[in-house]
Amino acid sequence: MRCNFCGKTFDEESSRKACQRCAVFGGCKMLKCPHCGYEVPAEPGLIKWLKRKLKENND
Amino acid sequence: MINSLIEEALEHLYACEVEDATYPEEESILAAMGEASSAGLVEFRDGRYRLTRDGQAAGGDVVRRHRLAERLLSDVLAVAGEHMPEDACRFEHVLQHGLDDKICILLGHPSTCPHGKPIPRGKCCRKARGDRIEEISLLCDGKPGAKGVVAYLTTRDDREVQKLMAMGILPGSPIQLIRRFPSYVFQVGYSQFTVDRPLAAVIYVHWESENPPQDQKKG
Amino acid sequence: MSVGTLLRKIIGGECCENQNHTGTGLPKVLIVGSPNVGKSVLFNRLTGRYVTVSNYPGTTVEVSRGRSKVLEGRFEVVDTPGMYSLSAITDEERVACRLLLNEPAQAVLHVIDAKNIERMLGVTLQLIEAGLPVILVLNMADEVRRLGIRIDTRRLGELLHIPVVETVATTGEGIGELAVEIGEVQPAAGQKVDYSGELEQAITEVAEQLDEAGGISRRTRALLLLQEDSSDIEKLIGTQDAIRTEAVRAVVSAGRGRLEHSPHYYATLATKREADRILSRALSLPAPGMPNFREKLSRLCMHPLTGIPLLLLVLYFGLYKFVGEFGAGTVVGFLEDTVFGKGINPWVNRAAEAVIPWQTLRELFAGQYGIITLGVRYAVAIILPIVGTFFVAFSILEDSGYLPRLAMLIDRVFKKIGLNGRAVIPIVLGFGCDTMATMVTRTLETRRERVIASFLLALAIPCSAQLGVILGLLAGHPYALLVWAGAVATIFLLAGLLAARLLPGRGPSFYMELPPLRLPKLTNVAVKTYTRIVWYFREVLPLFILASVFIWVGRVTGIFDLLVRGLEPVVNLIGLPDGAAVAFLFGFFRRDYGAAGLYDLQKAGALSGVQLAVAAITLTLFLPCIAQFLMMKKERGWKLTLLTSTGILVLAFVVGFVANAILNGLGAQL
Repeated sequence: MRCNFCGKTFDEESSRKACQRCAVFGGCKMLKCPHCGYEVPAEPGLIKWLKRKLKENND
Repeated sequence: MINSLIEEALEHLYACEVEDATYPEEESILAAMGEASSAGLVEFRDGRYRLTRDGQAAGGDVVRRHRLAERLLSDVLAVAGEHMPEDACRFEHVLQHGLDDKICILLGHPSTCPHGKPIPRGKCCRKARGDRIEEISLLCDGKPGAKGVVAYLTTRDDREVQKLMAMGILPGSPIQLIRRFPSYVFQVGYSQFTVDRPLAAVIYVHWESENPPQDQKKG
Repeated sequence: MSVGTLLRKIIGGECCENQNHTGTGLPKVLIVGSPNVGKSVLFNRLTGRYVTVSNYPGTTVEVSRGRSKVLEGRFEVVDTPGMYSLSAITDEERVACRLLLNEPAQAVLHVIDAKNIERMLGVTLQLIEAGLPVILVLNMADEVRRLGIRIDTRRLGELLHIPVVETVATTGEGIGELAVEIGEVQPAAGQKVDYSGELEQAITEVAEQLDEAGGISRRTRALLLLQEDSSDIEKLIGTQDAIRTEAVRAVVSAGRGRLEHSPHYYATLATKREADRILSRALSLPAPGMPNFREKLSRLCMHPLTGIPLLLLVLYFGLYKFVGEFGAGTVVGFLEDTVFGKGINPWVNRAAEAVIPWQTLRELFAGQYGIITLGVRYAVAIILPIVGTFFVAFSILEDSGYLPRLAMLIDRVFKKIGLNGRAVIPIVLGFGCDTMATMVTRTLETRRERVIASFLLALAIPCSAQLGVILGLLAGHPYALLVWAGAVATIFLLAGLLAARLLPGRGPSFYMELPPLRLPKLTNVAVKTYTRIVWYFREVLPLFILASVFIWVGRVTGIFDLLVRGLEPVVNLIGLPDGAAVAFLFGFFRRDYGAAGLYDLQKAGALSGVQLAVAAITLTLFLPCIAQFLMMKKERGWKLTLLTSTGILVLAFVVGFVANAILNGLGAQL
């Protein structure tokens, strides 16, 4: 996914790594951009599901 | 061979006579004058000691070394404040046998010392002129729109180095300054970045010759 | 860990142990490249679930390893820390360099950001010269296409004599092709880079002294020796013989002595020259036209003279018109009056009366302050439309790439109040909902910034709900509105200045990338808004329900009456009638409710212009709402929250008192 602030791309895996630097690690539903530290809420399941469906249709 | 006592006296005399057209307090130089005149560096005329041709060259050389040392200390080694004059005094006697030219090249042939006084040109500067190599100055002192190449970074802070490198700012990277106010904006490759003054003040840039840096005293 | 201790540890012998920590014994695939080129995304693409992350011995630098998902799991993939060149400056680079030297690899993937190939190809050349089995991975190929840059991949491969693969790691494009190449790649033939002049001579001299050893070419080892007093000297020299080692050292230092600049400088120039030569035959850049519209708009956003009016325009249309008038006015009006007022509330009240026989318990759910009739109604009918429209506006701004420019514009001012440009995000969000903004303060780098930001949010940033009602309250009094805005802005800056003075700690440093401006995409905006609203309800709705319970308890036990009576003299002190006390108390539970209480008073004609201004100022500064209070407690802890709140309570009334005195003293009619 793409960071809304700095515009760089990252995946959830590296976001989780960036989280370890945070003081309140754990519990929040945010994804942290490993490049700039900006946090965006994680996509809810519905959106993920929709995206997967769309992709399957495209393939 | 002239000793450091004579060097000091020549330096002093040069700064007064050549640059300010004044005469120093005689006591401050008197002790060295005997040896200096027997070496043919000064002559006593009209009740004053004056530099001979050789003396002017030697004095200019000492001044040049002193001011280069000041630049080196303030720009690269980031020494500031009270110790600088003493350190520079000690350095000027060390910077001999071509070492001054190496420092001069490293610093990009600066034209003024940190106090704004001119640095007498050396052989290397004249050569660089011929090669159209222009002066290196801080990113902060560049003109918006100016292009250049990063010359060196003057920070010892690993975290700062990392931040800069993450932006692709390394010696040799082409860089273009876009804005200076309210924050510094520049372009490296296809990306634009903005940084604040402390971070912009460690980046020295070798500007392209069409865009000479602005007046150094600003900012 | 300082560089010194690090070096000592390395010199202490840890470098010489066998580096095969995972013990899988599989051939290795090393991923190398600068940071931010998508290395770790590529790593995750190539590996499966079972990834181990461990510190490189003697350092705090993390190295990830995992079994390859592609090629039937025959390889161990190693993600090396970011490195910009073969000369190690930072800890990360040192580790990356060491991994290359010490771990014989089946393949070395040099991942680069394809659009910056001119800058990055130099390192590829050095890796080739080292004789490593290099594959050049041109990642982010989609961006290259978008920019109109054309890279002739096949040509480039022929010129470099290595496989070159285009990928988009984030979508998986090109990964299959890359896997094939990994299986087939051979060590590079090791074309030389001509360093020319003194450096070339020094390298040749040093290389002559070295034996063939390990997988790294003699020239590369010679260059590394010249570049650094590396702790790997023995390894680089490739002999145990002390006399030979000394001889090499002597040649190295002699070579180094002849160079005017650092070897790194010459090496960078030489590889750059070579890279340019190669790229002149494989790369075509789009003609550099005039700065296009985007670039012009971007510059206008960053110029203070045009940027500030643009910001005001954005605020006027985004915040005032869209959120204030449409969201807080039209939509709230419809939901409040029609849906809840005429539909749900009467039904709930009737149902409660029928089902719950006890008056007190009934009030917990229904009636004026019930969980459903107040808590849920508040969240759905008032907060949802306001916050929803705010999120739409914010998502549009976010997706357009405007926010980093705003950060750049405002950094200098924010520095004065102990924050940096990045804090625009929580502050701007605060105009939507301070509770959420308080949570977002955790994105700030230092604790000092987080404390200052959450304090300022609690003090001087009115949330959209409150803003809506205050704007309505002062609508008929433009001068009162001006006085209010001026006073709140002044307090914001003064309080910030003071906080920055009082709190110890280093000033923050500001740096960020400015991504290109772009037209927001509808789907992006919709997804972001929806995502935020879902998140918001999960995090914040429980707090509103809790607030309803508190109100219920307060009323049932009579504590509220006590508090109101206690507040009355204070309210009188700042020139307001008794009725305002209730508004202030409820202001704590719902910031806008406080303002709404004043609204009733104003309608009844009980307040003059001056009183309205004073009330609005005090109420804006007044304690944060209970949800924000609880969020602050969660983020900052009890001690700081209580301290901040007490300070704010006192400050709000002092400012109100002073404002009242000044306005009355001047005989102002607002």
